[in-house]
Amino acid sequence: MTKVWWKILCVVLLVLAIVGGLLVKIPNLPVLGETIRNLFYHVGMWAAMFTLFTCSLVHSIKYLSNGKLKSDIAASAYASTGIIFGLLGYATGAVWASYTWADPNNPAFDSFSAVAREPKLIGTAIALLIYLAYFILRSSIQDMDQRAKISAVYNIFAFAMLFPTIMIVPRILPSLHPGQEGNPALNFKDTSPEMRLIEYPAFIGWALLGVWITTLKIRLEKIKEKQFIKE
Amino acid sequence: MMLLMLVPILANAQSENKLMYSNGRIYVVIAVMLIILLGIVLYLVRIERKLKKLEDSNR
Repeated sequence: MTKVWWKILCVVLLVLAIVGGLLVKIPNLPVLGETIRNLFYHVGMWAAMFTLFTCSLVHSIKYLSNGKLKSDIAASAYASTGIIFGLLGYATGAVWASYTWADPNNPAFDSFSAVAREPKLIGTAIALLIYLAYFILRSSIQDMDQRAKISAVYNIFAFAMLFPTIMIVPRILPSLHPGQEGNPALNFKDTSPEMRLIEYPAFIGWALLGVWITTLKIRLEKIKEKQFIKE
Repeated sequence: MMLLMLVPILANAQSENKLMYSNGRIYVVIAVMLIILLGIVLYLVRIERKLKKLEDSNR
């Protein structure tokens, strides 16, 4: 965790995401215009969130197989950073939507309720709530090992719920988000090749940032646990 | 300095940006975002150094 190379890579990729993201040539899209550049930032938040929840899942499974509490600490830390990135994704999405979907001068839809009924919005809210419940579960159990075990099992279900809520159901229903025929962020018809060149490194950069923040959290928790044992 | 920033427009192939924020002032946005990113990164580095000190003193 104290290795430096991937942190430097993270910074480089994010600088690329910012500079490249704002300067790259974009296709001429009807409602969106220049705001499609948000792809590198808004969708990047979700990419980071998914990565972090996956890491959390891996550590939960590790805890269930080897019973080491450090895996439990890691699972909880990854989940909390994942939620933060999810909330950031939500916030950035809200700002983006207020300029495109709900623009009062150029309303793409009849009323705000059309935007509010957007399946992906509701789906991600449910997914984030499920993860918030993970923390409520953790705080309700006093015993360390019991807490770790039960929350690890819950984490697996919470991760599994990410897919129907965010990816499957929103694609079946009529939705404002792009990518109904296939995979939204990875659909090669939706993004131009120049954009893709910035898009993937940007996603990796955001994910690495999330991992970096989480590793700092984990290290802090471990120090706290050590102090606790020493006393 | 604003005039200097407008020079790259002539060299730039994408002239379909008829918006106010066509590449003239986009560099300001980039600078702002980079400053924010730099701030966040420096904060993280600072936390790292503090953690490292704590971890080493605990060993």
